[in-house]
Amino acid sequence: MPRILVVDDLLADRRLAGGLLSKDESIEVYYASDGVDALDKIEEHMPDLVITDLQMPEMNGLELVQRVREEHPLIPTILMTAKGSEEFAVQALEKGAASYVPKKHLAADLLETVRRVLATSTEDRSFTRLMNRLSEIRFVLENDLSMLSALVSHLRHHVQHRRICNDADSIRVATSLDEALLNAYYHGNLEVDSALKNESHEKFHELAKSRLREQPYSERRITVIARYSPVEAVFVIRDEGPGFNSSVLPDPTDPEFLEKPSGRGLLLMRSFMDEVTFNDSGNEVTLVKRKEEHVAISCEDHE
Amino acid sequence: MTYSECFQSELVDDVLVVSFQIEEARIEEFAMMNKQQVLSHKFNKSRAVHAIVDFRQLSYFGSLMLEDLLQLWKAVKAKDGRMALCNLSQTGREIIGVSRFDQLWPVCETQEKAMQSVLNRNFTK
Repeated sequence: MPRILVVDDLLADRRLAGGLLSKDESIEVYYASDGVDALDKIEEHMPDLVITDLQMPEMNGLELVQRVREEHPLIPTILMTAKGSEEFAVQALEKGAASYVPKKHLAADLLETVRRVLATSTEDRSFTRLMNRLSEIRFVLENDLSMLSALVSHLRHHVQHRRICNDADSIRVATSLDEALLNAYYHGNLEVDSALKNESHEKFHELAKSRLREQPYSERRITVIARYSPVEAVFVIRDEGPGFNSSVLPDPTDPEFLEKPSGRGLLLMRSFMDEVTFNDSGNEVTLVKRKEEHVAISCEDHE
Repeated sequence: MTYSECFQSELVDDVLVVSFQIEEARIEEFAMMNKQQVLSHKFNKSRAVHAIVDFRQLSYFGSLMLEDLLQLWKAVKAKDGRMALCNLSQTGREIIGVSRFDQLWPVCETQEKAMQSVLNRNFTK
């Protein structure tokens, strides 16, 4: 039985929307009088869908859409717009609303819109639940930058949906994965040295391009293993090059090396992940990102 | 999207203002920009003395972009100019901070403040 939360500060409008929804006997309706009340009711009832008015005291509909998106990403929202507030519908969609219904069309459109959004979100939710049971996934990629981009986007999506990271942290994870994959691609598999950039960036990239067609470089692959648990994501990225000694890299934040090209990728990885380790030969890096509360526990353990 | 669609540039007096037009760039776009050294190339082709990089909506970037900024900085220094960054995302600020590049260039909240900074007029971040 789908549970729907109707949020509106006007009792008459709440009753109107609730009454329309109640025409479908399978729907259970709950009510909240503003955005703040709605967040409490979401915690209490865990609805499958939130329908909200735009203009309300305390927290308006747009803010509520954003908060639901951030705090309950699996709960879709529908905005009810009054005459003259159509422009806010676009903003609501940008902030993550699944749809909107003009109040003057509630009687004709609300139930149909709700059924459509519920059908899509049920499918999404089932898929997300299925994906959340994935504990390990392995990719073997040829040297293709566009594939690496697609992979980073996929992994970022995963850590976000598994709630290991919030949006900001998932961007940090994506930055670190970008850097680890670039290392595997350029310096690992293609064996192109950053020092060549001191001479010319074009030469660096041209050498990389020519090696994409030469053996043994062209046959090398990048293996990426992602392991997930409720408390952390672990990414192992391995290239098939001869490896390198990360300890000999200069510190790029040292004023002497501040304007030199190398070492910054590793610095970003170390700054944004909770743990970064290399294997002995230096062709495999393991990056760990822990859920925030577990970072705190882990730090306490070391004290 | 090609890398040239990733940003716009305009000359305001003797300041080259480069503004990113995208929220996210893919690795291959950063790699292409890095290969062509687009930022420093645009600067050298113009009569600009100073440069502003406005990150606008670009949510994150990595070491390739940092290298591009360094190359642009070398070109600006060669003309005795000044450079400033503005409108960085939270992660963008962290990346610049971690790299200590905030020691090289002011990181401003808005393009107007960045303009004041490079022109050295009543500058506040």
